[in-house]
This record gives sequence, structure tokens and C-alpha cells, in this order.
Amino acid sequence: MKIRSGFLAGLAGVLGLATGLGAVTREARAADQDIVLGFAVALSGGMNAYDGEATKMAQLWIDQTNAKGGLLGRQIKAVYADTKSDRVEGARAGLKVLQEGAVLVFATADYDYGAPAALQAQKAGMISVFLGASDPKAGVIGVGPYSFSAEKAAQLEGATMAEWGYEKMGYRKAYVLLDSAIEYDKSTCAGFDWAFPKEGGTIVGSDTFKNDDPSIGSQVTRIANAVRDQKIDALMLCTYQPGGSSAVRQLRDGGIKIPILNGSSMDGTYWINAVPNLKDFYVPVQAVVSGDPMQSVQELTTEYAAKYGKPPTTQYAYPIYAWLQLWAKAVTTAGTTDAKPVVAIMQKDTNEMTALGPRSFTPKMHIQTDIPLTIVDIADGKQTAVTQWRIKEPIPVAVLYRLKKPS
Amino acid sequence: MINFLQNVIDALSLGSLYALVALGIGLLFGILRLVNFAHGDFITIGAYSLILPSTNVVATMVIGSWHWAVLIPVVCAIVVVVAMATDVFVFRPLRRSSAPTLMIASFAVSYMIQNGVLMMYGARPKAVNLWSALTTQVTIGGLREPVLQIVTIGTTIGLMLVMSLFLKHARWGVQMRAAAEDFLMAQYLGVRGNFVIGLAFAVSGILAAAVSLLFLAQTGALSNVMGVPLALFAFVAVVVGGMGSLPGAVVGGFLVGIVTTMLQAYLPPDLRVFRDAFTFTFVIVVLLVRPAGLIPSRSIAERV
Repeated sequence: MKIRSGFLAGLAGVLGLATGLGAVTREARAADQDIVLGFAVALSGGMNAYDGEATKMAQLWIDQTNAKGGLLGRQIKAVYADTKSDRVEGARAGLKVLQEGAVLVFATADYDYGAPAALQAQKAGMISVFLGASDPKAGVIGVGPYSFSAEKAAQLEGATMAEWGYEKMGYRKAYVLLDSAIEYDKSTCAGFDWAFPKEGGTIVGSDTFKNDDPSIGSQVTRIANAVRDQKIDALMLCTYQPGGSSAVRQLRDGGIKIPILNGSSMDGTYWINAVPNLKDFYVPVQAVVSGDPMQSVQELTTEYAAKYGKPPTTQYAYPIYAWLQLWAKAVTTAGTTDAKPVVAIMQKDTNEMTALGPRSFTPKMHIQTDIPLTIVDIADGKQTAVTQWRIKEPIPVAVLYRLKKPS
Repeated sequence: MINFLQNVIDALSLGSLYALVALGIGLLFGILRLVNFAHGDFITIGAYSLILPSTNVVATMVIGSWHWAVLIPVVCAIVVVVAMATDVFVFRPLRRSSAPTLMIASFAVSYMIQNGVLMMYGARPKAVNLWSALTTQVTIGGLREPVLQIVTIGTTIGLMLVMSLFLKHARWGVQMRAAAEDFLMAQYLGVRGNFVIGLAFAVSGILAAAVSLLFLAQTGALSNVMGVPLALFAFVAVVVGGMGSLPGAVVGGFLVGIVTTMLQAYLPPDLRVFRDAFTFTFVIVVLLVRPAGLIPSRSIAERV
């Protein structure tokens, strides 16, 4: 009897599985009509601060493309899986959107958090793109040949600030304050450390703190002394929120009034309540939310605001739009969404124009390392585009992967 | 010399914050044997109570824009209510549970508060400008002194004096000390257990509220985990000072603040990244020399 019930249960299981498979095939066939893009991103949790607006921007691109007749004559459909800002959930989310037929997987805007989903896509032979990871590892080296990042390398941010600061602002002596909590900050400062001395500038001193340090009192004391005794022109700060606004507040409260440079992570005006009367604070961005020098970016902001009721908060909403333009162009040329031919075409992109300006990829580098950035001045409660700046020479690979400390 | 004095004041200011947090954690441990990891989240709630609950990226001050004489009691009241609510709904049903169970429960409370804040206020950190008048500086003979640091140190000393007077002379304070010494005996002698424990939660709530305001005036940044690093270091301070001993918690708090700041100030640049490793090495050394902490509590020692 026992054997029999076991057998029956097994049979039922097999039948159930068969029915299940049938359902999957039907679903896959229905999806055949549409091109499926899978968002394995943080729809909730802490990382949503970065993923939320980029996801909305990608949706805007999908809507616009569908309105124009879709891609390869097919409509684009988005499927979603929430990583809940959790790395383990990230792998599951990646798998889920792939099972739903995604040919392109969007991963969270950070290498560490996005890699689990991107790796699933790589394993399945599909293209993945980080919404905004600034680590060159978010691509060929860290994930695989089908993985991209929509962002620029953090080193480019630091290098751009160094060159622009030296040449346009006349900074000769700088102090570096590094928030050692995350790799992004170390990479930003690595870019500055490489470019500033190369220009002829001197890094007079450097110090570190951690993003969640309750106080940076002793760092402020040291920098204040250096400003007084060594006549420093600018402070290169490599940090992010929320520790970033706290650090700037403490620096300004400590009487340090020299210009502060930072990477894109401090873009936006949402945080400046923390620092009353903030001025002389500069960041490099891919797109300025208000008053970008490029008409195409301004139009994008207007369309985004029309769809969602308000403009994006920071530059991190924009890069995915330019990346999707390049992807769509490659798909159209290849006549397929298959990863291999599409990636081969994208890798040939050199200064290919997008809504955000020229973008390039190489077989080794699936992230922007040499594009013009807009320097933004955050002062008096608003952002003002100062100028566009493109570094003079490419950043060495050793700096991009922080293989050795630049001397 | 001026530089050193400057560092000393930086250290005392950070030590003050740690001492206040350690006092809040130490108080509950003394009476309830509860290692309250949610204490840091009480600080978070105090800070978030100043702004309008919304997921907008720009924070709108409500209570935060009131006059300080109204603001301080209101924020204290809010944190006290939250602290006492965690007692009533979480820790009171677990009164007879073991210390590890209580600690796990406090983790759960902490997790719930952090995610509750995330849901109500959104994932993006927020920024507020609280009491910018305190962010000016006074210069005393070459010494650059932010007013806020003086206020922080002053408030800490003031709160500690009030607390020690309360514990020494007020009826409820004496009951709290009695409960901390021997809870069962205190109950036999007519001390109402739940009342005293509720009172301890209320006092720890007031301390958390004070820290949240001082801390926010210093940093201006709000995030759903803002209280966690404070609570973590304060917990270390409690262990260094001696579990269950209030003077120990204060001494430990100042010590951890001073050691951290001085290491940051005087370590060579390449080693500064490892500052916390040095701090914890110091903690281990202290515990090797004095396993029960610098000022051990008698009542705890007896139980071990």
C-alpha cells in the first residue's frame, strides 16, 4: 500500500511537472512576440536610492521605443524581480527574470550588489548591464564578456576633477580626504592621485575616515592646520551619502572654506540642507538635472518629468538611457538580440553619439573611461553647470584596476 | 600644544556621545540584563522625528523647526514612548527569558525599526540643518573651538550629574539601583518590577533623544542605520567599562572616544585606515588585564 501510494504520488509529481513545463513553454512562446528585458534590481531597500530612478529612466526608453514601433519590429516588455538590496536575493532575481525570457538583464548600480544577478545572465549567455556601477570590474573582468556598466569608471571622476582643477581653477596644492568605507571612493581618489601630480600639482597630505564615523573631528583639525600652514588650494573628498554630507558639514563648521571636489556620488541638491550656505563645491557628472549644456539631456529631463511628475534627483538616473541607445543600435545592426553578435558590434563603438554625448567600448573595457564630463557647482541651493571637461590621456589600466599605488 | 588641545577637545566631544549612548545601554543591562541593540535605533527615531514622514528626497522639518525649548521635550517624549513601547510589546512578554533570548529580541526590534524607517522615509539618506547657530566657532588663544563641541560636552556632563543625583537621592532612582543590585530582593521589599524596568527604558529613551539631537546638529545627515555605529562602539564601551556598572559605562564611553580620536590624529597615514583595528586591540588588552571591565559591577560579578 505504502509503495503504491508512493508510486501514485510520484506519478502525480511527474504529471504536475509536465503540466508545469507546458505552462512554461506556452509562456515562452507568448513571450516570443516581445523582446523581454529583465530588471533584477533593488525595487526596495537601501540600494533603491540608486536603482529606482535609473529603472524609471530605462522604462522611459522602453516606452519611447515601443511608441516608435519597437525593436526589430517587436515590442519590448519589461519584467521585474526585486533584489531587496540583498546580494543573495540578487542571484535569485537574476534567475527569475531569465526564466521569464529576458534577453538583457539590468543589475543593481553597484558591482558588489549587482554582480550576483549579472553572473546569472552571463551563465545563461545573456547580456547584463549594471545600472550605474563605477568599478571597471563590473564588466569583462568581474562578470564576463557579456557584461557592461552604464556608468563611467570612478577613476575618471577623480582624474577629471584633478585636470580641470589644475588647469582651469589654478589649484596647485591639494589635500585628499578619502572615505575608505567603499571601493568606489578609493577608485575616485586613485584617479585624482594619478592625474593631479601628472599635471604638476602637489598632494600635500591625505587622510581617511569611514562613512559611518560619528565624527571626523581630528581629520578636520589636521586639514585646518594644513590649510593655514601650507596654503592648500583645494580639498579632494572621496565620499558618498550619508557620511558625505556629514563630512562636508563638519569641514565647513571647522572653518575649512577652501573649494571641495568630490566624485559624482555627491551630485544633487537633496542633501545640501545639511550644509547651510554651501558654496565652492564641485562634482563631475554625466548629465546635469537642471541646465545641462546639452539640448538632448534637457529634453530627456523634460520627458522624464512629464512621465513621473518630477525630474530625476541625481545624474545616476541618466547613463542607462545612453547605454540602451547603443544596445538598440547594435541589435538593429545585428538583426538579433543574441548576445554574441550584439556585444561584438557594441565593442566596436568609438565615440558613438548618444543623448548624453559620445560613448565607447572595447573588448576589454565595458565601462566609460574616457568621456567628457560636466563639472557642476553646487551652491546657493542649486546646481550650475560650469564646463565640460575631457581628460587629455587615457587612464592607465593599472590605475583603473588599482593594481599599484600611483606614485 | 594647541594642536594637542584641539585633539583633546575633539576626543572629549566624541567620547561624550559614546558615553551618553553607553549609559543608555548600561542602564538597561544593569536592571534587565538586556543587551539592547535597538538603542542605536532609538537615536535614529529621535532624529527622524524632526522631519515630516514622507519618501520625498528633500526633508521637510516640522518639529525640527520649532524653538529648542519645545523641540527638546517633544523629541524626548517621542523616543521615550517608542522605548517604553518596545518594553511593553516585546521585552515584557519575555521577562522570564534568558539573556541571549532578550538580546535576539532586541536585534529583531532594531531590524524592525530600521526597515520601518526605510519604508516611511524612503531609501535615500536625508539632510537637515538643525541648530546652525551651534556650528559657529569661537577662538580661544589660537584654539579653534566649535560651539557644538562645547555644548555636547556640557550637555553630557549635565545629564550625568542629573542622573547620578536621581539615582542617589530620588525615590525612583533608589528603587532602580536596588533592582539593579538584586532584582528579586528588591521585589520582595516592595519595588514594582515592571515599573522600574519601564522607568529604565524611559531614561534610556531620554539619553537616546539627547544623543540624536547632538549628533544630528553635528552631522546634518539622516539615514535609517545612523544609530548603529554609535550603539556598536557604545556597546564596546560598556564592556570595557564593566557590564552593568554605570560609572564604568561613562568611563568606557569616554575612553573609546578618546582612543579612536587620538589614533586617528597620531597614527601614521598608512595605518589610519586600520584605526578601528587598533581601537579593538586596545579593548582586548584592557579586557585581558581586567576581564570584568575597568569598573566592574559587584552584582554582576557575583552571578558569574
